[in-house]
Amino acid sequence: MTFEEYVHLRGAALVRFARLLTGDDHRADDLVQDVLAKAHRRWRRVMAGDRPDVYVRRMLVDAGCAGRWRRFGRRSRRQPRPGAPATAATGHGPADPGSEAAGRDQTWGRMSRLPPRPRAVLVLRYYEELDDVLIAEIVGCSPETVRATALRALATLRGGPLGVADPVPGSGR
Amino acid sequence: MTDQLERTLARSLAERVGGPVDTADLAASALRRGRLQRRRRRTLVGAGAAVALAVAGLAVLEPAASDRVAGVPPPAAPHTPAPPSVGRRAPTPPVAVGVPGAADAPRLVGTDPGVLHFAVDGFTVGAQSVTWAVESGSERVAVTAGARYTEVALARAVGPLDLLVQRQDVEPTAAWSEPELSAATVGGLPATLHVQRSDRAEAFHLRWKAAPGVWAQVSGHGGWGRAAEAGSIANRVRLDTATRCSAPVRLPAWSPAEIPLGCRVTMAGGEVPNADGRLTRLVEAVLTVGHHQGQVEIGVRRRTADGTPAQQRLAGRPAYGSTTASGGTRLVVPDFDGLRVELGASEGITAVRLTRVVDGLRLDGDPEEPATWPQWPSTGG
Repeated sequence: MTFEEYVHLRGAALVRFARLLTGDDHRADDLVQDVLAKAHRRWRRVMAGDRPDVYVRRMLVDAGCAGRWRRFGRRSRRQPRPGAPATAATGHGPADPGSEAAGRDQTWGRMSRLPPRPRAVLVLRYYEELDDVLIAEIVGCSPETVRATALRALATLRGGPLGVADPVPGSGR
Repeated sequence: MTDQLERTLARSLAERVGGPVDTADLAASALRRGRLQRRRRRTLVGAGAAVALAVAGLAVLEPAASDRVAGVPPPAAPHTPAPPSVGRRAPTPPVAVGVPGAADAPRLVGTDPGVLHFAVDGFTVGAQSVTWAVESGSERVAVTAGARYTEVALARAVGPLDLLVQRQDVEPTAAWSEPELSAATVGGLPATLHVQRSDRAEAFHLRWKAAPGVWAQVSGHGGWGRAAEAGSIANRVRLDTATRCSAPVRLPAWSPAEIPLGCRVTMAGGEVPNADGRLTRLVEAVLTVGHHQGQVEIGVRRRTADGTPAQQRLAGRPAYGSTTASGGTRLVVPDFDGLRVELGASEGITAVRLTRVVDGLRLDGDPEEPATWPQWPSTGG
């Protein structure tokens, strides 16, 4: 697969992933362009692993943990259109415009307070719907660490203490 | 087990994923940025001039300033779609001379992988990419321009048209409204317009019965006000003309058990460099042949840089192969007389069979001019 073919196939998904990591559309575009520029320079190495998507998404997460997307959503974060059914195209039932929407806003607000790696774990688990083994490869830790990180991050979203630590890359391996 | 919080989180993430992404622009921006970064590095290490090093050092510290350093061109503005080529007409499927259109031969729609029984006047002008295809019972022509995707299709039943709508890469997780249905007319014929909106984009399809037993559809997404275009495009659909779908290649003879099934061509609106730096507009032309044991896809593509080591020689050229995750076989000849040839086969079709296809394959026609490509289905020659 060529670089251009990869971006054509997976570019949109990468940008969506980055939007959820950064909480900022412009920063997400910037981050993905930067990571893809680096990936292009080492494309042979990226393809040698036969799993370019894991490689590139790991680059995105690593860039985030190096500070590229830590400031979550301070700029032009899009909000859902008020009153719009949340998931008309995804087959879910009609949205409750009141408490459910408020709950989602609160959850999103708490996401913004998580450190980068726990945030990445939740996005990969609940948006990308990846299993813990693949998440572990992307985030750079063991599947057990992914599970523990997700549990702690969910506890934070439930309103628990904001004490979720970044899983250390490579821990638990 | 999924609890309420996890469901809320999944929906919250889905709502905030944002609008459409222009992947062509993303690739171009990434390549531009990569080139700029390389130039910066060369500036840093080059010549050994202390002043140049100092300036380059500033460039690294302050990227915005570096863009004004002599010898380092400013980066192109991000998210500027590449303009279509000037002086060459937009890619368009070539006319099939002597072949009736859907108006005269409605029963043939979707049955011949080498023919689209319609044309659309002026549809491809200004497009960044143009695709025409006959696959799975439908005939279609699609164009992209930035994040905008528009497609015109014919089929003998609504099922294949539903499938085309489902396959479009509409943001699956944006907050889409319930579909709005309204009555419309196309050339005096009754039609139905479906529109869904999110806060960023609009997805639509306009469907009508264009000829006895033939359904037509104009669909698209990306950006606002798209549904308003549907009627104008629909009125330019011509059923008195047929166009061709083929590839710049002649295939070896196949057995009666092997049946031509599909064809798909994508051309870029503007010229892009291939691995040799030669400008080309061919992105890919893919033919599909059905076999009693599965399917074979024969793809002829723009040649791109490919560092994969060759494992064998096919038709006298370096090649490599692999087994896909689903058990299929893939063979690639990175440079087949200046084009990239890729063969993919489903499980059950052997590499030996694919090798024979490559051995008997030869390019034919100007890759830049679909009108010069041999008719498909055809073999030998």
